[in-house]
Amino acid sequence: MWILRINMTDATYRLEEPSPAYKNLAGRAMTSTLVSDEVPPLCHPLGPHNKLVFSAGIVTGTAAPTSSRISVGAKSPLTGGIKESNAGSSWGPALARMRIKALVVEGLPKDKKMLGAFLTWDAAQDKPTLEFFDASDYAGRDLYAIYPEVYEKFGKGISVASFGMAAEYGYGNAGVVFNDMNKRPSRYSGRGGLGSVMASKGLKFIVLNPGGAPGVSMADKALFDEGRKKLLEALQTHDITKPKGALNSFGTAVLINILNEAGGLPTRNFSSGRFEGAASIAGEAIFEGVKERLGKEVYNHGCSPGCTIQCSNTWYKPDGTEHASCLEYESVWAMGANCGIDNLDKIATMVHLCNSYGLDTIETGATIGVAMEGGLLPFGDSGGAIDLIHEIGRGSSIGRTLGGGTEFAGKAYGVVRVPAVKGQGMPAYEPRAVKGMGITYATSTMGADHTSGYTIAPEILGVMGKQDPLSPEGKAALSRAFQATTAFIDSTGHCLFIAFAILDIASGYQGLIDECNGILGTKWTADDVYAYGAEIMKKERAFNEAAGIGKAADRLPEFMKTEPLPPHNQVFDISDSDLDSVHGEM
Amino acid sequence: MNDMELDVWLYGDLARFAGGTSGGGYANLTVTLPAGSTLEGLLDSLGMATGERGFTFINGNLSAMPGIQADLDRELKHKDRVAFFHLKSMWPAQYRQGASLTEEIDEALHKDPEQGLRHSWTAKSHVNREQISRDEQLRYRRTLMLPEIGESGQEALKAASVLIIGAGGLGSVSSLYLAAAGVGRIGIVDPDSVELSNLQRQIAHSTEAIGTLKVHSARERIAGLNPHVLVDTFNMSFNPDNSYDISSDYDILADGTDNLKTRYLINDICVRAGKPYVYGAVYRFEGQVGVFDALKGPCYRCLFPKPPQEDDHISDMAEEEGMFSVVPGIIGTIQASEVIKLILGIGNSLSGRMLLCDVLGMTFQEVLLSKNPDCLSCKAGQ
Amino acid sequence: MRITLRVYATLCRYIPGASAGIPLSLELPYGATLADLMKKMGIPGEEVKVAFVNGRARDLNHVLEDGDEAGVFPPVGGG
Repeated sequence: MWILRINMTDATYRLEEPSPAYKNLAGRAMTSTLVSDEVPPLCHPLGPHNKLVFSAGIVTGTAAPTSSRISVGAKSPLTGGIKESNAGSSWGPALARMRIKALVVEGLPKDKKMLGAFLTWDAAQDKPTLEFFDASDYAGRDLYAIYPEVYEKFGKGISVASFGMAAEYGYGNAGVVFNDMNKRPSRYSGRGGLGSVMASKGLKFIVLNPGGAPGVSMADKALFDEGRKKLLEALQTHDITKPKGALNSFGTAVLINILNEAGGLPTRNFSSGRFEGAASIAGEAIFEGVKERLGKEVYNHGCSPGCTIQCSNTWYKPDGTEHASCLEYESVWAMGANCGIDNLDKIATMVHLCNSYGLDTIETGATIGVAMEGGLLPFGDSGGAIDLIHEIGRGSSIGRTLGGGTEFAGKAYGVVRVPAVKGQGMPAYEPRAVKGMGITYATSTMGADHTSGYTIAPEILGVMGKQDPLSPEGKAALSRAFQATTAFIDSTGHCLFIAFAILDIASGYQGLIDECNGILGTKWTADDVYAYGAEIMKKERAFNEAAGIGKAADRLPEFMKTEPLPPHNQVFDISDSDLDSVHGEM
Repeated sequence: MNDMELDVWLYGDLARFAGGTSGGGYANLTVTLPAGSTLEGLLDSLGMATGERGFTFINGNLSAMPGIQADLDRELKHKDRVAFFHLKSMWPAQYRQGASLTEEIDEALHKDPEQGLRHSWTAKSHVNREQISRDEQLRYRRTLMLPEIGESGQEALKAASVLIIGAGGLGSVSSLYLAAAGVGRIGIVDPDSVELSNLQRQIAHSTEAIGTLKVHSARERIAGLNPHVLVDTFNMSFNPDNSYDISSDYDILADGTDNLKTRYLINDICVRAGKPYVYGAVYRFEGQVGVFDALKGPCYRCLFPKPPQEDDHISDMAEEEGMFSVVPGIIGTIQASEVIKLILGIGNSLSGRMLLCDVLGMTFQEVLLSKNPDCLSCKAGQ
Repeated sequence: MRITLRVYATLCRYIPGASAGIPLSLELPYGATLADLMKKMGIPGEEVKVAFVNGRARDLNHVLEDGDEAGVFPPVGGG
């Protein structure tokens, strides 16, 4: 295993042996540890001392099902704190197969010229090798135009990481983009402005071709295989994750109608929990709409190799040609309900434009919602919203203001109702209606993040049995448990959607642990999962505190405590001491 | 007694309980019930069994979820908004933690050892998914009176799934009878649209449906006949690339295709998966019908080992030599009858036999068939 | 010996005046097989079909007896 360091100050690279302390670290555990160890918390995120770290998960690159996540970490230009954002793409498995534990991009180029890095396996030397190439021709262009050119230049079998024009302007809402299975630039480590960190380094592409690489090494392959089969079986039998189950049929947008009925679908910049147009933009409507336009039922596809859940959809124009992929719950909500827009074709255009320009859909939608609140355009003005995304992409004055993200736009337009925590715009769950989610938004080390409290391990339910998860203290304890186990899953390289199968099917959870033990040679038990995750949270929290983001930042915006939200007319009433107990009692 | 109005939302495939046509993945309707009606009363008036639904909300408060249905006795009020979700919907624990609940489910969750954090997603383990509603009790009364079938047989029909390949003459008839009888899930595969010249025999379609997809037209017709039936539509030809994926979720495959190539494909898929193939085929005034169940008897290839050559004089198409209107009706009805018997495990199936029907002379010739020890399909299926 | 024959579907075309399912009566020498019967009726050997005798499918080497009721049918394609 290697740590590959690319120094952009002088365009060199070197391979080093990882420190023994890093032996069991991968994915989020690796990126957050390396950022904690090497990045000064008070550095400027776009300056010379920030580092961008890529790390695939423990099982990524193996035959473990639904395990192709790649974690990207750095100090975030959006939140000013530590950031880990992961994506599903063939890129992660490619990196893992070349036995690169972490790829670190550091330094700052002397000029503004963009370079690319092409990484292949050198069979003679039995190690990865890297060549730089001139990427200046690709700067300032639509990602959908340049991806095919990169594929043409480097041929089959490659995976591509990059960023769009949004990152070249240094926006807080620019993501790192990876290829999907159809070579589209559509899989994002979107949150927190990591694309801008990559752009600041002048490294336009990291292209991987792992041909000939030896693959992931395993301490005990038999144990690994046993584990992966258990997990696979759980995934293929659970109603949410099985073929033609909930996710494969309706995608993540199946949540739109549910949250709307629960009064928790943030609407028109978090001014209501219910959107009258929800049913026409929901996962069920997408499924029916595609069926009508293509004349057949279409089940979803995978974002990355080896995924058995396959939750990614594609939206088509009335003439049956592709319009956008993929319409996720968060994206449909951000461009739809949050902006008062109920037209899937317009939403698809907005999502596609975000992919073209390299923008995070959540932050973009949340920002446009604030701009609408600020009077820049009316709610429901889909044409105006599309124009604004073009402004952001073109880097006009308005565009640059909005590219700064939700909180920045709130300041620019004098808006009080700004749905953000630690500078990061809120995703699609209203904290006043789903209070447990509010606790996670407030206390996540990442800023308002719906994926930081996703998984829960079955044995934690036993512990929780002593506390009432419906009480405020219980909710805080549960959020802590969710966040710690999620940090572990983020480190395995599995997608969070294995959560259903491992929670409900005990053998699936054991399979996950067996897989990791098989690869690492560890003897982890269920208890170690929580401890591993808690360790990551502590490191991230310590980084944030050193960066000046402490307890006082573990709060929701004031309006959520004072403005009752229809239809339930509730405020967020979890006390500060309950919020503080999430980290305090860790 | 006063009536009250309820604002009812039906999501996903539950939209079929709204009656008539609905599109876009949901239906919203106003239901009028006597004041004081309960949620169970609403389910009855919709004709929906409680096990058909998953997450349920009353005025934005979670009232039921798969496995925890605490709301059946809840009295509804005038203008209540009631939303029912299908069983392919989800609401993960962390995204509902701290959401608004009805008192009844709040109480039920407190009693639940895992507070509902872990629960079944299909309701199968807690509520009998196949239990039949009051509407269905009445609907199937004549069937329920037959001691050979009874309630357990009706539940077995509801739990069963049948894939019909082809929505033409045979498929029109078999799908309607299977739906009427209460088969819970019917899949229909057909790539074509309805044409005027189909209608002399393809009775699932109507004149108004000309130009629309056959699978949609058939689904509409079935929904009108029996809204309790889930209909999956596959607007595509059944071919070697998709046949396994399409058929894997169904218990029995029924033949409604218009060509021999597809029949070999259906046979091979059924032999491989160990599923019965209910065969039917028609030609002018004649028909053939049988059951090929390779686990118990011969398969189609035991009879006809190799597909005929292109130039053999075997008619693939009704339009080439004409078709007597009722022949597909007779054969399709016998197929439906065989499917139902197979589901219920009653009577003698046509496995190992073929009926040759000649409508002009009105004769039925039975031919006993046996397994061919050299059959390649049976060997490959073992 | 005397046997009856029923032919079905597309095979009727080989026998002028034959109609599906309607028995034809004909004479065959003793010891004749189903194959001999097919040959006599002009039904080509390569034609895909199933022959049966007294309600039971038989292969073409089956030896017929006086009074047998034979029949032959091909696969049909319509639906």
